[in-house]
Amino acid sequence: MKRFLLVLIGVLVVGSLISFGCAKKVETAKDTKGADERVASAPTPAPEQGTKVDAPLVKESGVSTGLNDVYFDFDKSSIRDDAKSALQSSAKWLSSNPKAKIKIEGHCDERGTNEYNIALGEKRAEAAKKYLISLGVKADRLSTISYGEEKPQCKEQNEDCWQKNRRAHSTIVSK
Amino acid sequence: MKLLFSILAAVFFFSASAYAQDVNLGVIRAEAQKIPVTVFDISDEAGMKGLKDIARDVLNADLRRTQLFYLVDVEKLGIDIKVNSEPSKEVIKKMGSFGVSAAVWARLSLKGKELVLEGNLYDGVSGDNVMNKRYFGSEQLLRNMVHRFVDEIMLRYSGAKGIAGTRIAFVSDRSGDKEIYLMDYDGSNPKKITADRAIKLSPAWSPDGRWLAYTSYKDDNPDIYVLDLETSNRWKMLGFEGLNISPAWSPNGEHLAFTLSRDGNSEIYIVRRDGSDLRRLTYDPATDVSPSWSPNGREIVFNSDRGGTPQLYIMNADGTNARRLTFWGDYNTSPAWSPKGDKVAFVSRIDNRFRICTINPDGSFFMQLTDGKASDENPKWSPDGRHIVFSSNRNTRKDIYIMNADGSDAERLTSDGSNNASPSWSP
Repeated sequence: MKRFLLVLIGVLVVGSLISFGCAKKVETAKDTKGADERVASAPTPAPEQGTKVDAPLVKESGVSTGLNDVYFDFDKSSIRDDAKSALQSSAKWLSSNPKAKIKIEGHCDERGTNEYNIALGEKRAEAAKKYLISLGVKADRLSTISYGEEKPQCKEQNEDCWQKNRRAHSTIVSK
Repeated sequence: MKLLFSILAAVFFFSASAYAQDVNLGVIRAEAQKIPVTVFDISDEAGMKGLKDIARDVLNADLRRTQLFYLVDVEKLGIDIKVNSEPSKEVIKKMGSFGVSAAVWARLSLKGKELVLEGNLYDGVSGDNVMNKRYFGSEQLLRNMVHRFVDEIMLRYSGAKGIAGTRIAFVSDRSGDKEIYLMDYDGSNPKKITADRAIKLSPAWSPDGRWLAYTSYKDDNPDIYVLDLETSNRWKMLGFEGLNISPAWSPNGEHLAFTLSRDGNSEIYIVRRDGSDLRRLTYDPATDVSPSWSPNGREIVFNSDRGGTPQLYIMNADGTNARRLTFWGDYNTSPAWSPKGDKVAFVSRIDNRFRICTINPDGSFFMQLTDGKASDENPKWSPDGRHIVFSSNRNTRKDIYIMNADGSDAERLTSDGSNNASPSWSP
């Protein structure tokens, strides 16, 4: 039995040496040795013709119109108290301009994931829309779009700037 | 007793010989122990200015990025690597005696107007030439030729396709608009492939590398477009009211998963590649975005704030059995399932910074990979699962970086002064 164990150990040691030796050796595959290969560049589509996107019908609105920006907390889409008064004055403007339709843009600050922020921006725009509806504005006068963090108003990296970007901004679509 | 011995010996013999037939030997342990390789000076018979330096730099960088090889400086051992012709067997065997497993030597020459890169691989033990390949192409394709050579070496050693020939798609505002660009995996050759002058997001490669899906605001709404990289054809695939964002191809390329908000809030849907069979997978009043498929196509990891904060969830690919994956912290987003299936990379907000982290699909081994003053976002895996590409503002602007899958060796790929983000690695 003892002798058997010794032999077994011997076999194992030699075996592991063999496999270790093999491990270092690079196999030769005859089929690729000496093969020639033409290298071509990977397909790269030409950019589509630079036709500019048609200027949108949307017009920028100033504070004077009575449409105010609505601001939000980080990762939140709930309407703050300061946002309520901004939306109330927007609703007032809409009732004195009964034919006007507006588009509410939802925006985020640059922090966080782009895709998640697009969804968050939409929630902010929808929250502003919902609040305006609760103030008596008809839903068909209000549309929304989210730009997430892609269209910041302010481009510095500090809280002042980030707060300016966490907003719902209204533009007049038709008057 | 004798019989038992014979059986044991036979079993050992057969298993050993089966092992010896495996071409991929010796690399299984490479994670822990890298293969020592020497690169000889490139012989330049083409005599074109600068080409030799490019070839050498690309060759060394490609070999280093494989994470398989350890480049040995044999000049310390008194071996001259500056050769003008093929290194002799004796020199290679001498290196082998010092433990160098393999040697690489390349030669540049001209054939007519074409550049030829001849790549050779030698076994350090026998000194034999075990690979000799010649790559033909124009001078501008020298980098690609070297990439092909290194991928061939990588295939030899690991049995897996290398990534030196892969590319990375990303979004850059360098032209003034957010357009999509392709660049080589080492950051060279950036090329613009869109020009609609609208905001672009989330380029996603199909598994066969032919199609790129992405979101564009071209028609004043975030819609999903598909670009055929071979024909340059592109079309709007999804243009529902509200969001059409975060496209992700299934591993067999048959389906696209994405987010729509047409039913009132962000939900995850899938559709067949031909646009048929649109199916909604999530039904939840919360935000569900950023799907990423498991490599076997059976599950999808996604981002949802259904629990109050953005966290990662995994569901079956038919939408059933959604369960929460991350529990730590209040902001975990941007999931990317690794090609081997063993990890999910994602972004976690830790101490008010965004970090690249990984977690096992069973919720164990939450690991933070990046650190520092800046924020890192948008992790995506290399096709071999050995690297992660991501965007970071560690140098003020957002730029594209790659790092090893364990967070080591971060390397900056873009530095043109614009913002570069939303990277996606080609197959």
